[in-house]
Amino acid sequence: MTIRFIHAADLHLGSPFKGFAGLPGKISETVRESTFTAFRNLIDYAAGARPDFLLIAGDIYDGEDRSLRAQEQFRQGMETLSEVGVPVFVSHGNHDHLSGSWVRFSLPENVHVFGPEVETAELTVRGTNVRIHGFSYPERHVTEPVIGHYPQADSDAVEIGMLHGSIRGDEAHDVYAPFTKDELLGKGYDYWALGHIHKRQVLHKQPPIVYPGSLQGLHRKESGVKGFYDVTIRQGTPSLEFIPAGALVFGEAEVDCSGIRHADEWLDRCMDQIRAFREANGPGLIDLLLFGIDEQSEAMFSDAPESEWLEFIREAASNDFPDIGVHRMTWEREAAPSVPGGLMRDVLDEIGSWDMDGWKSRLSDLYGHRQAYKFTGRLDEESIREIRKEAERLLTDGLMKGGRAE
Amino acid sequence: MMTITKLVIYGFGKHENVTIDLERGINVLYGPNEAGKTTIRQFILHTLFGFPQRGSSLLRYEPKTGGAYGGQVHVTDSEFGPCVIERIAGRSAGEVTVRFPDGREEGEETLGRLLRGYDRQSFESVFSFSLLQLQEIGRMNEEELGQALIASGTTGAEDLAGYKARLEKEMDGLFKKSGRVPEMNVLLNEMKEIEAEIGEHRKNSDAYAPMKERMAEIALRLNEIAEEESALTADQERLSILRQAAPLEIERRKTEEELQAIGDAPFPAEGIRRYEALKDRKIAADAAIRNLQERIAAVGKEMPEKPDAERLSKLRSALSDEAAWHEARSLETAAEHALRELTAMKDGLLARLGLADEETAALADTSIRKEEELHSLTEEHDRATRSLERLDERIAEKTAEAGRIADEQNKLEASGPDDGEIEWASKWPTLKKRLVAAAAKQNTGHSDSRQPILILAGLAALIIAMAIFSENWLFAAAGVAAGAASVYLLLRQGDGNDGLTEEERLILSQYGGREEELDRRAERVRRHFIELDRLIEAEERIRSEVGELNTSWKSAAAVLDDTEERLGTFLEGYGITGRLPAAIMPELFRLVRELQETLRRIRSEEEKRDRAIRTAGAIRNGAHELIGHPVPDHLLFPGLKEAEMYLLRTGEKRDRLLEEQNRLSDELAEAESLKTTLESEINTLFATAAAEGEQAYYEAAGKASRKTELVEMIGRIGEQLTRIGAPGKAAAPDIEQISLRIKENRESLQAIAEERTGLIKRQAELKAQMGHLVADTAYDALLQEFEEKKAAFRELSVKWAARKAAVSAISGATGRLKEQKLPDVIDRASGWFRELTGGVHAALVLNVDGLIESEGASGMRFGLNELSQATKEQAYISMRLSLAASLLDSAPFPIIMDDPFVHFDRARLGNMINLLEELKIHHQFLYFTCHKEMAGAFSEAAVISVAGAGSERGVLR
Repeated sequence: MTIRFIHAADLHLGSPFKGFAGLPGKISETVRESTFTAFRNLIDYAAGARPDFLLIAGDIYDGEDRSLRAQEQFRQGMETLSEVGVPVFVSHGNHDHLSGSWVRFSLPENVHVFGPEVETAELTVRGTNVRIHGFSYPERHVTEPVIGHYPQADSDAVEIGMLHGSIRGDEAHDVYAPFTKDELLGKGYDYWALGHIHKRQVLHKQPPIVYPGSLQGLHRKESGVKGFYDVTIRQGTPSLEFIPAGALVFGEAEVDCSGIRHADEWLDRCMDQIRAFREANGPGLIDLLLFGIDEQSEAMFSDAPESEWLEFIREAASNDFPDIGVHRMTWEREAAPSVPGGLMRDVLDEIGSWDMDGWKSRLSDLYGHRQAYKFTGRLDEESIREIRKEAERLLTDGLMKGGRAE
Repeated sequence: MMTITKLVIYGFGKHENVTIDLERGINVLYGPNEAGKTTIRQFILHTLFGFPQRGSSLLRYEPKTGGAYGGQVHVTDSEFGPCVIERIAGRSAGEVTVRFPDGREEGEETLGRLLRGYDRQSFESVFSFSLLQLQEIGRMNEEELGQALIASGTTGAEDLAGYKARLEKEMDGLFKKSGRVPEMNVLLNEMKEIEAEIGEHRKNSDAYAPMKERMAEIALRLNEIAEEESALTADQERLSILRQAAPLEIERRKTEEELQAIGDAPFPAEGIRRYEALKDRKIAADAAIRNLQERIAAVGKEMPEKPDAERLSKLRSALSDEAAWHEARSLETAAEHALRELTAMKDGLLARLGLADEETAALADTSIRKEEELHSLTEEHDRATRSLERLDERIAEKTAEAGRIADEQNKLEASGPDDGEIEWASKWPTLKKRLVAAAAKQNTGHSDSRQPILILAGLAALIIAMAIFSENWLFAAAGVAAGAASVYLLLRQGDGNDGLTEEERLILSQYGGREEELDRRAERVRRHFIELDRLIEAEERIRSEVGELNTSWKSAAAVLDDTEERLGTFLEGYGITGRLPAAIMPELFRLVRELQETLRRIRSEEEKRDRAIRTAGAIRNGAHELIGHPVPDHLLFPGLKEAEMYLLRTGEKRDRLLEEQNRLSDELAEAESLKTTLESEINTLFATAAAEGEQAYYEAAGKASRKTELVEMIGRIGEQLTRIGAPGKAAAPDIEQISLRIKENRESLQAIAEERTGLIKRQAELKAQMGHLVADTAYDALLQEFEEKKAAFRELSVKWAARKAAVSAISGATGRLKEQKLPDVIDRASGWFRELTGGVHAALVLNVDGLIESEGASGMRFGLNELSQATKEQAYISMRLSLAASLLDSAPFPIIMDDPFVHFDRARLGNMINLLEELKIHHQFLYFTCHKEMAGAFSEAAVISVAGAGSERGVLR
């Protein structure tokens, strides 16, 4: 008795990339197409491998932004699988819930879309009964646990649960259909196909409880190789193979700047790292992390503003690696210039003394602006940390460099 | 309080290996221009705070001559105690060691603590100032001056203020609350536009659903239209059929009427063809019957008699003798042939034997015994012949020998010695004896008379040898005689005879010395006679031998004659006469035997021939009888065969004809039966057609055919109607009505086609529009652009916010400073300023705008820029010193001044000195000056002269 299926989730077809500015033209094109490319990769793989079925655990689309094109692409993908006879089980998630008012594309017969209540789809694979349990989000928010509505396993069949949601107590995400690992295990299923969390993770090995992660990274924080799982359950023993599908990988390349005197040396090191990244991950967007900055390299860098160095690298990279975008550059200085005593320290202490309200009131010109506030992002602790770091850098840097002449 | 006690310069600027000792309190370092005062001041700062980075705006003062760089600053600190700070070349900031008396060596960290966390900038802004800095103040505007004044006491705040201004400018470039031009404001507008565009796209997308509905409606309507159209088309077809069917319908009716008129017309199926076929066959059957009868009669005529079987058997028997016949004939021929050959052979043999006839030879005895007898006779004859021949040979031999001897004798006599010789020879031996004797007498003992004797002996031996060799016994005798003579001579040698006689002397003189020659002459004569004797003797012996041989020859001839006689007798027994050589006897005997054999074979062959002739005769007679007449032998058997063949053929022909006759009879019977059948069938046909005879039959046929035609016509019309799809029997059709309806239908169809074209066009348009919407990437691109702009905006936001925070922090910190510390500092500074100016200026005060102003004695306030240069400097110095005093707890550093009092008048300078002397309890002062009078200005100060050239060793007080 062997069952083979593919588990994917969080396709977010047509979703734009968030948090990237100033991408060069070619990359921009790749970026725009990346969710579709990743989806096509999934479909091509499934059409080639012909698993017994395909599970998509929510968030096919990105929400209100879903374009007709995205839906059409999805429909075409389903048609392709229909032609090769691969059944597809879809449960919609918070981003593509059922109560939206968008046009509905008719999907081919091989696609089973779960309804708003937990239900069970059954099929027989080479004499083995497979029962797949799942539901689709009836609306944008499902904050109540739904796990209680899933039936207990029937001993004969292979039981698979599809659930789009987050584990209870995970503060990093808004709470959706929360559950605990024990609750999932308590159902006695052979596999839990989860969705919603974009970071790939296997919560439990036997039986597997799996977030395959998003099919394509959508935000610069969603770094690393993205894809889906090719799952085989052989005599009750599961084996999982992760298949990369993303069109682009977001990542970081670290460049050691120690002992560098000349810009071309530095460029070579950057290119080496970019090349290494390219070889390991394929096309992608990179944050360059510069470390090991010593006096020599510092002296070199001080010749031009940081933005110019970034531009320099981008230009060079776009020639050698047209499918690699250098998104930003972070300068990690070995030793921050020592904070001088006296007033400078008073100034820095001043920054450190502000509480959340203090920050908000000081930054309200922008963050409270009637038009701008929508785009500034929330002024939360993290962004304050970022701003504070930058402000301190401005102060120490600016003042240290502007040492007085005798 | 921190005091610098000593400076040790290894190498710094122009100074090399310089040591300067400093005191607590006030130190005046005096030196003319270019003596290196500033260098020493920089040495202190560099050593405490690090050599400046290469490329920074500060000089590094590395010795131009090379050599060691750096030096030591010895310090005594109230908190850390005494220590030595050494800084030498190393990293760009230099390598620092802080040494304590207990031997500890520390580094930068300890130095940092020793310097209370102060960096050079902060230090300089409070504890180290020059005239230059004071002069700069004069050019600043009021506000900046005020800021600088605050800053001067608050560590680099003048930079802070400038930096703050710069940041504020940058902020303005990024974002203004109600601006349009700053980067973020621009971006905001762009985003607003994109949002609107996205909204537009969404609206377009919203149109998709109605389009989809419209598509469904169109599809539905198209289906309806298709149904309507197919109904109309079907009706149209039906009508067109009806129109086509009308003339046919009319014809059908007519035909049916005629058929009714004809009524029932029985006639067998295919009656005419069948009848005529039967009729033809009947005629043919009649003809066949006649023909057969004629042929039977003809066969009967042709039939031969039955052949004679007995004769046939005899013929066959005779024919079986053919082999015997041929054999007899060939035997006869062979025998004749053999006889001819044998007769020839016999004649040959007779001829060879030389016989006239064969009678005797044929009866002669040719047995083996006879052959043996012949053989022995022949041998005997041979022996006799050979014996006679041998005797002949020997007689001839002897005769020849006798001849030869006679010749030899004649030759010897002719060459023999003459008579005188012969006579001399006969006397010589005597003479010789006398000679010898005489010689011996003469030469007794000495003469070698032995020589002739030895020669004689040798001669004797030679002669004997010759005799033995030639078997001449006369020679032998001579030899012996010679030998004997020599022996005799030898024996006589002993008797020498010396008493010679006259004769002897004569002899000796005549013959002496010639003995050898004379001996040879005697010997020659003697040998001649010996030879002659030998020849005579041989002649006599041969004559006697010849006589004996002649006797033997006669007896042998007699034997030969006898044997020849007996052979002749033997041959006569065989009829052979005459003497024949004995050698051919056996051959004759063999020929006789052969002849006898030939004769026997001749007899045998004759018998064979006769037998064959008898046999052939018998066979010939039988054959002639059977053939009926005599025929030549070579036609005998062909004749027999012909007779047999004739009989056989006749038999065969008869059989064949009989068979033919039977067959024809059978056929005849068959033909007759067929004829009967045909006649009955014809009658049946007539009966079916109810016709009496042929005429009536043909009439019936005409009627039936017309009926069939009509039925067929009706069928054909029916078929045509069916083919065009006409409905079953209908009322008589109305063609006009049908045409009208067809026209109406056509118009309806036209209308439907037009509608459909419209719908399909619309459908295609919709499909294209929907396809466009579905495939449109512009929306995605727009979303992406929007996100990118959002990201960019957010980045700028952080940038702005960071600046805003920095600016706020600077304002906050300086504000707080103003609020808390500044009043004390200003109070104290105010007091010192009043003292310095001798009360001309009552106080320094902070106005409402945060600026420092001077308050005159009259209460009048002046902006600092309104003060005189010196007064400004005095205000400035008061502020600094006040600050230093206020920092005494946290930063008890020495105060280093570079000639800041040059503009002061005597009174104010005095005030200044008084102030410093007051303050020296709390601070060490290092006062650098180029004015000599300053060296003596202080009441209690260490004065250190800085050498002009700068590179001398040591700097003394």
